[in-house]
Amino acid sequence: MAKFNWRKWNRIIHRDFGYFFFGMTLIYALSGIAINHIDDWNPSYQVENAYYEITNPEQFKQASPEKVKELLSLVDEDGNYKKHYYPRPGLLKVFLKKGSLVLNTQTGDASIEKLSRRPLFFYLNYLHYNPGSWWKWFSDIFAGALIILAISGIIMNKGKKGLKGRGSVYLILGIAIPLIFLLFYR
Amino acid sequence: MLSRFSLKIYYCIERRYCVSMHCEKTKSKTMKKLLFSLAISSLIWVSCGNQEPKSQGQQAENQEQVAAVAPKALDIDNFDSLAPNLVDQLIEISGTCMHTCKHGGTKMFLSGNNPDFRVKVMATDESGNFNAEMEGSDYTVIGILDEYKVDNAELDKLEADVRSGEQGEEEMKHKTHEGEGNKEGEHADHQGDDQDQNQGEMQEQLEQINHLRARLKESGKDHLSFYSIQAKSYKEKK
Repeated sequence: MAKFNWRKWNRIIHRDFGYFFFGMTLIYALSGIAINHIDDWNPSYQVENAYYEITNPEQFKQASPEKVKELLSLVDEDGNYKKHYYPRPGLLKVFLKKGSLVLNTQTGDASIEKLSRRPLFFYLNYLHYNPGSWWKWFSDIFAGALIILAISGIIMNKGKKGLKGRGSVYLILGIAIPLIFLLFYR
Repeated sequence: MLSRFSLKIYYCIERRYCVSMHCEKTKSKTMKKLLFSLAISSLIWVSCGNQEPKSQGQQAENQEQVAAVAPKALDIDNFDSLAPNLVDQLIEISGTCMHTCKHGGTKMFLSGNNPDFRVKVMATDESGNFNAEMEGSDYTVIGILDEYKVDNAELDKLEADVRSGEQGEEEMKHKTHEGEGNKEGEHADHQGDDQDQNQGEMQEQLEQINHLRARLKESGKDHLSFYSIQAKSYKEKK
């Protein structure tokens, strides 16, 4: 009876899983970097701010939608009105299509924040944040596959380049780094 | 000449046959490998919690037991009076999306006629997350109404957690955040939106706990209720 060549099957699994989950790996890796730096940027939207000084801002103290639309025409936002309200006296907030405007009705200081979806990252982040239940299952499968990829990767080579050689050094280092972090920074 | 030609053809046929035989073998091997990989994938799928298929009897039994549940309407403008009777039930609520969580869109706040009163809606796997483009538009949300009760014992526990630097402070912040427009935490301007995401200092948390203690005392009840909705679905009202 022929001996079961587990190394061969290990390579096959590692290779085919690598091909199949290539896209998922990129999705989670890129969105992971993007979300890691969420305090430094908005990973899903490009945010553009514009500032204005509105003369005679008192006229917008208790403004009707029509009046607010007049304000929007002053700042080139015609047709973008959604709704408005006063978060506190003297402050008008207008929801725009993909953005918002805030006006201090006492000083006339106005700021507009416009959002536009980042071409790639919006969709990557959307997928990263579990957009639905079926995606949850698929991403769980991907997570399981990553475990298999990791295990099949470390046992793939034998000899000096494998676990008996430098492989074990890298393996220990890779495990030690998070452990050191836990020990000293937790 | 003819025999030579015949031999050539024979050679070609033989070679093609051999090549095709080799291909067949390779194909078969590739198929086996592919099937093996697929089998492993299926195993992961199964181990990830796929339930066993139900027998026909079980299915019929379940069909008898399952009755369609229509969500109960919860008027956002009468939220405080209606909510206590609808806890843990499937509800439908409509309002304007006033704010969405910038960190992944895991929650949003709905308002009715009073923009200072806000209802927190939490995104789930079923609903999918919210996004910043929803702000200012009207939405109908179907979901389960959750109640988080805060009594003196809970406040004591939270205070102990805050003082010891445990996670309780953040938990409390999330559970008791009502998103009320006229409160300090409200996002009055764009700068305020960003500040909403920052963790408060311990002193701030303790002040919030004291504020809750005062509210509890004022209410004359043994607990304060903080409601939120676990969204199952949401749809923009056109």
